[in-house]
Amino acid sequence: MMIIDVDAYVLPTLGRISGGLNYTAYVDIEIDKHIMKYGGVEHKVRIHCYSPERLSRGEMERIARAFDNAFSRYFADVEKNRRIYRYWRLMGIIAYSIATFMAVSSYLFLPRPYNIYAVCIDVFFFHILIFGHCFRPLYRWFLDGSIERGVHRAIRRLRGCEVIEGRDREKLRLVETMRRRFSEMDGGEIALYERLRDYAGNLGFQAAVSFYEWLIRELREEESFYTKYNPASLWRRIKLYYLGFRVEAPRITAPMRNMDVRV
Amino acid sequence: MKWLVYKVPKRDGPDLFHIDLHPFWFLEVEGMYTELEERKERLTIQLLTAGGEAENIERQVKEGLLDTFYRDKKLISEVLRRLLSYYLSLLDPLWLRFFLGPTFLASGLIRGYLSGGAADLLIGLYLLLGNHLLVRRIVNEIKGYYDEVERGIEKALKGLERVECIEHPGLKRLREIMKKAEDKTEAYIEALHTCDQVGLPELKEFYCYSAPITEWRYREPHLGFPIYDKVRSIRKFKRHRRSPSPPSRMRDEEVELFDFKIKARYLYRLSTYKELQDELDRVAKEIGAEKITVYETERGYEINAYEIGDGNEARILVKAGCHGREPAGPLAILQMMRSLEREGKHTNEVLSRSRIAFMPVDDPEGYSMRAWMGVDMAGEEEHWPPQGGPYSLQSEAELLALRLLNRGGLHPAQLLEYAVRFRDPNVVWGDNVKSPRIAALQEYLEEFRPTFALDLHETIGKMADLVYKGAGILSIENFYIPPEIRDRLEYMMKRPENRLARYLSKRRMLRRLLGLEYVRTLMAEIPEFEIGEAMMRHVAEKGFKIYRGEYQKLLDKPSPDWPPQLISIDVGRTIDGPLLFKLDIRVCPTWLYHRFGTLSYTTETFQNPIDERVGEDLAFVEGGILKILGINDGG
Repeated sequence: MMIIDVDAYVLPTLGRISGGLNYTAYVDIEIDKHIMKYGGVEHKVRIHCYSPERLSRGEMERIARAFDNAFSRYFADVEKNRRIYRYWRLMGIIAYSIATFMAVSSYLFLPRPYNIYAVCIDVFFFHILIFGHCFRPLYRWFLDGSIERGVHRAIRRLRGCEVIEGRDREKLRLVETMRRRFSEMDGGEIALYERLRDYAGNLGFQAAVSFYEWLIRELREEESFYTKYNPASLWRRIKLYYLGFRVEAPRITAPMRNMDVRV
Repeated sequence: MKWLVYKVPKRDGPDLFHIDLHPFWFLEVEGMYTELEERKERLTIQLLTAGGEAENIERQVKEGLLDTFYRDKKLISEVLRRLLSYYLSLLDPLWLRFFLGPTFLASGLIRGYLSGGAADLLIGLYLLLGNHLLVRRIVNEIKGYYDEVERGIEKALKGLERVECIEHPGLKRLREIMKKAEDKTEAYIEALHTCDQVGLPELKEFYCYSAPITEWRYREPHLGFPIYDKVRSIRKFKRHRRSPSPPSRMRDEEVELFDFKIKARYLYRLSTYKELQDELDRVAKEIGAEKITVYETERGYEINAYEIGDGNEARILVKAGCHGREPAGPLAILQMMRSLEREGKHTNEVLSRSRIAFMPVDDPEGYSMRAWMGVDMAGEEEHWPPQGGPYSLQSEAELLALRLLNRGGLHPAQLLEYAVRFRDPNVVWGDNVKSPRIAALQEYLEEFRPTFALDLHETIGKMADLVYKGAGILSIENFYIPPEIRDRLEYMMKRPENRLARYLSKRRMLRRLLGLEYVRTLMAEIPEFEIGEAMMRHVAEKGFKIYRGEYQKLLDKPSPDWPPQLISIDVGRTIDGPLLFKLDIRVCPTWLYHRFGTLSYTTETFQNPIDERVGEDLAFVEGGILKILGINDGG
């Protein structure tokens, strides 16, 4: 069995909703990419955890379970997509391909004045109809099929994960530097994360950069479950109907204790 | 495959099992089940404990969780059914079936066989019937999927392999708090705020739901209503004022009235009411505000108002903290008061022409507990949700007490009773008020007699985030609309192009074409509308988010409990008539309007970083104050 080593970093964040200050453990892995890369081989993931303060086993197990939960959620999402949207798209494709064919072919039978310019105009407009309603959903359908196959292959071969303390001194120094930097700042939440991201960028700490980028995107994005699955705007409803939902691979994060340096 | 369960320390009674039931919990469990099935594994539960392994833990966990699962199965099915209805509402576009289908059929029949009508007939039939078959197929798929989720949870729990006990330092700290504290409520409040510090924010809900002020005692549970042991007595509180000290302000040209440089970490540190109150008192002293203690609660928490300014042109009331789970309002008031430490462009003018009363928190215990207060028609107060009751009656042994807690260990009957009996403290205002707290607040406001009032609220929490994540500020305006304007507006909004009009309302020309300019002209006759618009302009000018059209749809179809809505045309504003309820009780702003003719506005902020929520409130209030004093027209 292959063992894949990945890193997890405990990075400063602010609490959500009802306030509070805590840190967040971020596992530096992208689930979809991991599945594409290692889905074919039997493997176990070993997470090396880098934290400014030593973590207890209970805290490390929380990171491990966050890893399991994120994978489980991704698998379930893909499965749901496959089961539901297969018919959903089929419905759209059949309905509109017949409609389009009928609309175009009826011109052939109709004894009306019909010249090449009219044909050009019709083809131009119907092209959008056919492309929008047939080819694009069809492509998404095939794409989802391949994702689903990849996921099922990975489910059978992934043998869980274990979390251990990271030993790399360089990486430990990076998380400590981030903590020190955070203890010196205050301001708006997103502005804080932007400053931390830039600081991590200057340090060459790529995992922290991607974590804060994701966090900022999460905070800025005005997309809720409701607006995503049942949007008010007509255009978004149409898109949803024909394209289905994109399965987003969740990021693996777990809340950690507050390790703020008091200054 | 492993699964995490918490053993949470309690003040009295044995520890309780807890699973973090976040909104997408069922997805994780379904995925876990798929994995278990495909890998032919069995489930291992990791139990996070405060330390030490208990005896016979495996049996307790297995039976406790299964028991709870069966008990909560209804809740899970309910959640799933709701999700299902979201999907289904998208599935069957009726225009396709009932408009396009018959049209094709009719055209087929009219045109006849030779001119291509047969195919039209076929497609018409398909649209009417075939499409429907596919929809049914999808519905069955979805149902099958959710059935599988339910079966999966059950199977995974039954096939439990073993239970691993793992020590967690956070839980250890929580246990110490429970042991050390004398008072249960205070212990739970401390634990609630410690949860973030020790990295267990998912347990906050448990402690917040389990920290009531008064314990319920069911003496005759079969009667279906509680009988109280103690006789209720309404306490009279004498309001008292403390004279202010003279302020010293530094000039700051960058600031208009309020300072928008908001520090999120500073705000997050003020998590309990005591911390917030100390800070408010300190700032009040600095800015020379008069402190008025309006009421003192049973636990000794003070409800304060801070008055500042010497003018008579306007008497402004800024109120927040009516609901304990809404921290942005009180923090926004703190930020407003801190801003007055410095002299901005308009500070002197505003303070010399008006008197401002800040009422940061109406429900101090609720603020500390992050809980929701309910008031019944007899004036009895209770924080959501109460505890005790039938559960303690059936404490056969430790085993029965070991339950998964997702509603603070409450029996559904208690939840139902709470929902039926208690009302939101914001809607029990009026002359017949029974709650001593609300009566004291009303008495104070009788003295202050505001001419312009702003009430700051929030809509946040797990389920609200699913709907309103990232939404900007919303102003709820329930001013009086004269009947003739109301009739004309209703006629306008009932027209069939209403939906389209709303969709296109951003474009000015279309707005005019579809008559929305007419609505605006009508509404502009009402001064409250104009001020609301100016405040929203000011919020936009300051660069904050405003509740946008995408969410308006949610307001179009309010739930049966909500009052019917008149207008939601304007971005960021929902305008309805005065909210009156039976028994002569009303919403606070409506009471203010009826009593003193006050221009009243309520704001709602949604899930965003705390500094943004505070900033939105700040901009809204600043816009209002500058507008009514005629200093600024909101950008």
